Amino acid sequence: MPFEKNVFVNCPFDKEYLSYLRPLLFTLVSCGLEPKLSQTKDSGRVRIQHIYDLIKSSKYSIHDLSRMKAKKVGELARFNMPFELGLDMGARFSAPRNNRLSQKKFLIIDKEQFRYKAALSDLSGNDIEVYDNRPEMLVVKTRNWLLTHLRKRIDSGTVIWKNYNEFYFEFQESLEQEGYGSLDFEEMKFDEMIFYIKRWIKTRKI
Amino acid sequence: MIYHKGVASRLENAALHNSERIHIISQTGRWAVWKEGAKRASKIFDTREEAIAAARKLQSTKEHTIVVHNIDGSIRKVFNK
Repeated sequence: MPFEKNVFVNCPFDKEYLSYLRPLLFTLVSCGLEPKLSQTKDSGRVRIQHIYDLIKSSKYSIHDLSRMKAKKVGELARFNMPFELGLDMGARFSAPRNNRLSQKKFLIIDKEQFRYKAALSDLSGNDIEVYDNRPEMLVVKTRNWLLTHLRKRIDSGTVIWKNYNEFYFEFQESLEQEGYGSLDFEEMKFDEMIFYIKRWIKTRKI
Repeated sequence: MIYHKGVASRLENAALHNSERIHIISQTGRWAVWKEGAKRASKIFDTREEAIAAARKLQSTKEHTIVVHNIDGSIRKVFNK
């Protein structure tokens, strides 16, 4: 996929975040983009190199900082997301003007407004979109941000959200009919899920 | 890309046909009744229960399957026709 279509998705990959990640992937594909995730494919490969390769191959990036705070006493906060945001910004700022990396666009998202000012004050001045722990809001905010950069006609966030709900039902039904259980769905690699999303969207447009 | 041909085939078939299901979907903090393939919601309600009741009325005039979603789009309940 060309640089202009790739979106580096920097977010948690755990079960709890699936409620947000799945609609986010669906939104990106709906807008004609190719999500790139660092979910490990080759355990023998140095992970950070793989992440940096994804960063360099993507014009767009979405960084979710919602796990910067531990949820309970004794639990450590997750630093992968802010770290990868730093790598991504470094790639853009260190690139010469005529290099495509200098054109990179970032969407930074969090579940709460202004929290980053205390935890990551260097980001002051950047736009941070807040989705209030609502998957639908994440779809709408992502779609609206993409519209400002893609300059093409894309469905409204409401329509994308409605389509995602329809897709979810038909996908789950198709999986069940082929003997998949809830664990198979939960543990499905994102590359495979993206493949099915593309198939569904492409067919639906016929 | 490794994928399951059966799943892909069933999914494509489902996408190709409008099965006229009614979906109850979370929308701007309320609950919307959407007919499959429609460009806009039929009606929006404050509670999911109200939306289900309205969809049930539509179901009684024509035999639709009603799919009730959770706030994240996953499936809460299905009322078959």
